Amino acid sequence: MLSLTCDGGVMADEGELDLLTKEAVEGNWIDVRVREALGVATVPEEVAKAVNAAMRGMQDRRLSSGEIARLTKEFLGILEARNP
Amino acid sequence: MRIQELSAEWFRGAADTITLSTDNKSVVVYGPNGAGKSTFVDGLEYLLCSGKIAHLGHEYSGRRLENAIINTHCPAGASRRFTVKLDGGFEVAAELAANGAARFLGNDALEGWGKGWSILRQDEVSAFVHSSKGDKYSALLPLLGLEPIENVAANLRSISNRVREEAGLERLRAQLRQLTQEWETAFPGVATASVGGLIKDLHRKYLPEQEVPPTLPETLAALRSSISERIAGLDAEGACHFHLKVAHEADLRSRLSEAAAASDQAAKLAEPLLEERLAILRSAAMFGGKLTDEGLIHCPACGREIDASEFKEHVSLEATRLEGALKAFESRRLAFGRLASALVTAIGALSRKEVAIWRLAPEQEVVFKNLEALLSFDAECLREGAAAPELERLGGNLHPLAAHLEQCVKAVPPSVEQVVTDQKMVNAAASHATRRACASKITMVEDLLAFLGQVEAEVRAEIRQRTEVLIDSISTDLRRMWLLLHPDEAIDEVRLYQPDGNKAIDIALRFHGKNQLSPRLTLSEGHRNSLGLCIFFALAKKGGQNFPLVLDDVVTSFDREHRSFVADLLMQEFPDTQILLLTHDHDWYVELKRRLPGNRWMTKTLLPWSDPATGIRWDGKPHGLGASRVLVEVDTMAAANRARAVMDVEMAVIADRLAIPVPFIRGARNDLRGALDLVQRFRSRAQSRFKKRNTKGNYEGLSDPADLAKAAEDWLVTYGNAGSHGRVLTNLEVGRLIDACDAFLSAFECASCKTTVWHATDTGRTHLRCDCGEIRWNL
Repeated sequence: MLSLTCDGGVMADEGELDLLTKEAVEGNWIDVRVREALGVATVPEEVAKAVNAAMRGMQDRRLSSGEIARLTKEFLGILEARNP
Repeated sequence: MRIQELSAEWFRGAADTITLSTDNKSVVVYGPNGAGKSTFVDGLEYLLCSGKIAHLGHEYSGRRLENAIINTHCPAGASRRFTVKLDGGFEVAAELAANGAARFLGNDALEGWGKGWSILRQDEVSAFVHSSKGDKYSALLPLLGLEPIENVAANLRSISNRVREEAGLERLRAQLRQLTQEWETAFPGVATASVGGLIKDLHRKYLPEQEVPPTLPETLAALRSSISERIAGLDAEGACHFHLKVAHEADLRSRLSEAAAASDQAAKLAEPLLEERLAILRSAAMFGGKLTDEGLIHCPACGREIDASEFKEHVSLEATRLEGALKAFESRRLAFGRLASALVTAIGALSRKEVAIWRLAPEQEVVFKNLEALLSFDAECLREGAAAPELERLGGNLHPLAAHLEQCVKAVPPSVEQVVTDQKMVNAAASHATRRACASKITMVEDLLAFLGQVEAEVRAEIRQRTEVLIDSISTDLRRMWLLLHPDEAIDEVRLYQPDGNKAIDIALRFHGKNQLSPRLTLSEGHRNSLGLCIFFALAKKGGQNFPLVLDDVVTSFDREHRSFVADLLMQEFPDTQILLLTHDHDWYVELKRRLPGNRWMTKTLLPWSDPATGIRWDGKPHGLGASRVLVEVDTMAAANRARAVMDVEMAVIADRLAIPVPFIRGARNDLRGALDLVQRFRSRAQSRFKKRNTKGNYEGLSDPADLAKAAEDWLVTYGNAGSHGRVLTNLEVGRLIDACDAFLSAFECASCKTTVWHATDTGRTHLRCDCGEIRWNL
């Protein structure tokens, strides 16, 4: 299960983030759309996974500015860790 | 889901508890204007919308609607409450405090029941047709089930904006531009790949006896050290020349000129922008209400009035202009940054002790004065920009100094000039790593933004795709319902569609063979209302089939023919949906009473509302004679007239149910038979067909209904006609008339099971009977 934690982070059970494999993609519209986006704009796989997981957790409401800030830091953090 | 009971207590028009019991059937409630019908609708909306009733939300109703939802004469300590009982034993209630604070009980049972496609009021019938494309989309959003996807799109947009801010994208771009410019100054026309070779050459020149280190940073470090030593080794004159040259290279005049030009350009754009900003503030408040498909609207970007059809293009041009202004401000910031850096470099060089001999020379008094003045400038503050007078003052000191410096550097020997050039190259090469890191970070952030933007675009595509499927499906129902209400009319192909752009839905149709992109172009008010009703029904079919439909006086603007089609539509399209239909239209009520099947529908009548303490009251009899009794004390002629009108209606229904034949009369009179005619025909058949079960279980003839019909007929002839023709009647006379009619109509109701003689549905085609079989009518 993928979800947004109360502090705005993304929580995912192990083994549920294989969104880039075709088998995992077919069932969920978010997976499908993220894969389509990856075909046009390229980012590292970890970022795509994090965005994908966050999208699943943000469907029920508009996020607060704190949650937006935490997700932003998370995405940039992943990228900076890859490009120190 | 079905409503079993709605109860109101000191809520809206209700005083002591008034209950609408449905027996799990659909219900038609008739009541004259103000009788309290809408109290039931308001109560339901209050529960469904957690304490909100749209038409009551205004400045005088109070924050919790307390001034509108509580009966004005509610006694202190009385219970204020609205309750709905549902099938399955669920009960949902709102208990209100005197200040309107509500306590909701059991409202989980209403989960999934949306007000939007379940309750329709008279003034809302054409609201959807008249609303903007955006409002139509918003109205359909919950039904389309797209709110979660809309949330994702909006959240992605917010994250993109935050990424831009958090990463300091504009600052990074400005830094990269400055570093690139320094690089290009140090290595004009040199390919990046060749710079390493140049640095190696420099190393060989300054440190000929040493091996060139294997890495560029090591080479640069060695060169910096060597050049510093070379500068330190210069004689006094050479050192003075070196620093004068450094100060000159800062090119103060060019930097000042750039800053002034950028400042002018930004100022030119800023002045109108400030005015427009004020216009934006003024027009933004009006914008929401003005955004329609037609006419002029205030542009929120510039405040001007723009034709709606040109609005999109106009906004795009305004956006381009504002982006241009932002770029001008960015150039200004960059120019002032470079001016500040140049000033720091020049002043730093000219303040050194090695230059003191030049600075303090007697003939340099003007230079000294200007330099002192420049030293008083806070160069770091200058990075934020400066006003025109301040720039002018700076120029007044800077220009003479720079001009004099230009003369002086002509005496700088080439060997010293070369050291300055070499040092600049080394510094620029050393910043290469920073420049690359900066460019890399910009690329990284831009990639992330591009990805987030693309994902958002994909999410929007998902929304559009799903909307298309759903509105196609709704349109199919809509077309079918429209044809039911408007058969053989030259308005067809009614459908919902998505115009260009996101978050928009509109209605198209074909009018006498011509396609129309809006019903507002050609449809009359009545047709628009009819279309609004069809859309509501189509949405209800899609979203609320499992929930009751509540229709509050929705056919007011329909003519008799179209009202009649509405009944057909309800029976055809919603056979299994419970419907609460409230109307003040007596003719339609009569028609519905006659046409709607008794096994699935019941009818109820409200008495006229008299005062807040009495509240809402049902007419005690299902046939409406209670309203006549209310009138006896007020106006005997009106009471008699009313009783006769009720009998006209009731006898028409009874004759229809009991299949009493009447001879054909040519013309419209065939449909307008009075109560007297039908009562007489009933009497002639009642003796042989109206039966009652005796103690042995056999059916035998029943004389009472015929006798009661005779009595009613007599008083209708005597007092009913008299009332209709203006004769003054006494209370007693009208009382006799009403009693006789009441007794006659009650004869059709079983004393045991309280259902009418035509109530049972499983009797085949030979007879009708009540539920328990105590009374029957042989067909």
